[in-house]
Amino acid sequence: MKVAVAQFKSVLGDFEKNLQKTVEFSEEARKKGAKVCVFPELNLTGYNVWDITFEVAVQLNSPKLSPLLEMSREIDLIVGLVEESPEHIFYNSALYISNGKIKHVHRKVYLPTYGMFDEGRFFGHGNRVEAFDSALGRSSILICEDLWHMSTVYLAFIQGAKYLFALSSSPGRGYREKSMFGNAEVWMNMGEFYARMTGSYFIYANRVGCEDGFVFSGKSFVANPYGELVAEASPFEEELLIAEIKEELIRSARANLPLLRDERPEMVIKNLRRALDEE
Amino acid sequence: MRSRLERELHIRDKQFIEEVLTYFIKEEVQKAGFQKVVVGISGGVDSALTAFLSVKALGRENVIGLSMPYKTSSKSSVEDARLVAQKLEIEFHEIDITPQIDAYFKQFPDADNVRRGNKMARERMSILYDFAHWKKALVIGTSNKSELLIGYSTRWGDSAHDINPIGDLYKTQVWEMAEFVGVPERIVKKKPSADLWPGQTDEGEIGLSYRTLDQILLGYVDLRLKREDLIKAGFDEKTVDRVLKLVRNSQYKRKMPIVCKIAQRTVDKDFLYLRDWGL
Repeated sequence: MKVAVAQFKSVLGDFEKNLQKTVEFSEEARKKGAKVCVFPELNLTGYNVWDITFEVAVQLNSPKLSPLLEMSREIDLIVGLVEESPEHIFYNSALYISNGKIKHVHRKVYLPTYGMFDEGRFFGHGNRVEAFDSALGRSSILICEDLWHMSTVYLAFIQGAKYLFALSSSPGRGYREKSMFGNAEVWMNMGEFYARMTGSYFIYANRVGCEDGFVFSGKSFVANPYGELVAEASPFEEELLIAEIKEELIRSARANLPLLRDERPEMVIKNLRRALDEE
Repeated sequence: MRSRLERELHIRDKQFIEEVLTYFIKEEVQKAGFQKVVVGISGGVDSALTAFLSVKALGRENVIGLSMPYKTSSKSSVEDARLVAQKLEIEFHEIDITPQIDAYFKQFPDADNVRRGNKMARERMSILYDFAHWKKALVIGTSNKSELLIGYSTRWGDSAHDINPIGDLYKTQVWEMAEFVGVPERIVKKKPSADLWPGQTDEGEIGLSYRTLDQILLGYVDLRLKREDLIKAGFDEKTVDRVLKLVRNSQYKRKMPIVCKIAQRTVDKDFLYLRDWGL
């Protein structure tokens, strides 16, 4: 079983162009035998959309999405876009599209609004972390800042996810590392750690390209349930990363390290309640 | 803390940062529809580094160097500018700005050094933009982070350009990178000077060494340390206050003109689009 990660470069605010390239990448992924092709956060719109948010947003029943629905009859897709809800709230969302239908939507839960980030100014935040069945198996989608909060990974883990799809548009910063930006190294550490601690595949799709001097840090990767990198992309180039998924490794990792078996969510809930009540 | 500041200034993987900066130049120039850049080469290390990076990014045939001396410019500046152009084998023009500067100041024979220096910086900017139009090129800037932060520049003079690859490098980091990319040693090693009048040196004019300045700036800006933290780290109180005041008082140089708001959306305030909108 293969998964494809499209390390993508978006044109800021040009939905049509990005859509066309998404279809092209998907086609290539299909030819290479992948079951799912994963794209980065907001790949259909570009990352720093700011006031373009209201111009590139699509409702989920929009005919604009038809080419992706069509493509999804051949290969399952995870794409990032600005979702406009029927109530006209705008979300930084990721869609799982399969067999002509949108099967699952994740709305980014944690919107970074500090330093160079300003997402809370434009987007509403999601309220759900869920697991669903992707072509690979039980999966969860999380978007960028979501992953910097351990709670989201815990929620995915406890719901039985074996595949963590991590979508990001991470602007590079930090010059104290080797061959990559500081944040890219944090992502790698995170992927290796989360994969091992959850006995899951961690599939990280990040962007490349530049937006007004923000140089996205690339280095998309796939980490197996033992926390080993099995595929790794370059820091700058657009590319399609293909990784072989070995389901048996999930079983093997979880048999050796039965953290999910021993997990006690009731204890966690009780303590959370207690801690919040004490406030 | 002081040794931490010194350590934080050090760029660990210069090869990688060179790749980031050249990638930035290539991306931002080409997606705006250009192939070429013009760069003002003064004979100093900032413009030499910028020229070297530009050639690595775009090829020597796409970089146009301009040396624009005034009659009082030091001989070594002019020679070092030539040296950079020779070393890079780029198209190079030497334009003496003495006639137009002198013609103007004939009306104001008592004008002081600062007025004359500013006029020269703006004359050079004007020539760079004339060449940019003529050669279908962007103007690439050569302001480093230290000077941007303390406002050691002429407003709309050397501070005016289209893209700036070295604006997030402190002066001491410029030296590090310049040596790495192969800028001739005598340019890297010489005392920094704006060369707007004979005998002028940066460190003389600013009143402290770049090494100290950069450590204070990095502490204040990058690490968000308080004034008291910096003094505790061993910097002289007067020096810290002086640097912080330079930063505060030069904020106007880092901003576009401010517009008086009367309507719902105002161009400089809540009309929020990146410059790379649609690119």
